[in-house]
Amino acid sequence: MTEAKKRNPNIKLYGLSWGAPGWIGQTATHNESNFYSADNIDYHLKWIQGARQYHNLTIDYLGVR
Amino acid sequence: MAWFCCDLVCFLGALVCVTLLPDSHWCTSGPMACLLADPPLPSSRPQGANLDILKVEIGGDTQSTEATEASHMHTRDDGVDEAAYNRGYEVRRGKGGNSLLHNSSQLPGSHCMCSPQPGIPATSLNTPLNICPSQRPFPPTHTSTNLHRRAARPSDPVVDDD
Repeated sequence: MTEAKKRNPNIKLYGLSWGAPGWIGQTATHNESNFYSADNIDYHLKWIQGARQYHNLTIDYLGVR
Repeated sequence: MAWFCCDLVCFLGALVCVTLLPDSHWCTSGPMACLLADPPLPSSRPQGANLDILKVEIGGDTQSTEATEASHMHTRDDGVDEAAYNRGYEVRRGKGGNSLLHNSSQLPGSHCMCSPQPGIPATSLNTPLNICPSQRPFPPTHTSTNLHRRAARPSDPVVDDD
């Protein structure tokens, strides 16, 4: 992505998850994973923040399965 | 597709436009970056596909056909240091310390989408209409074994590269 941005600054970056770790969406009373949950929002926000903080990449779009 | 047979698997689906094979080489070796990311500059890189969007799969600790897709958060408390964002084949560090997150378009889980024509925005994502120009036949100078920039011709204007 860095190389693509360097060569074409106008290119948009798009992250898409097809799955998520099992802990996503689990609570003390609900032991099954729930993909569409607040956990997943936090999970995606962390990914965006990590891309920016550690790789200096700004993600333009996010998608979910 | 045949014209990219050495470096790309091209197929159309609900989401995918082009997937680079893991052993293809991205920018450091030149041709793929030139072909996919570069704007169609008039002379130095006329073959640039000028991609609008580079799409990368976010690993979720799930299985793919290539390998486990490691996530940046194995647990709820994970994802607090840089190492978490360099995991898995999608961000595996290659030789020379190059993080593949930086070069993720060469990964099997990453895809690119582009407009029907260079310079025209991809107005509808995730549709098979957004066929990369790279899926069109190249002029005879660009074959599957000769993806580098064509040789300079005397008629070409002199342009400083990079």
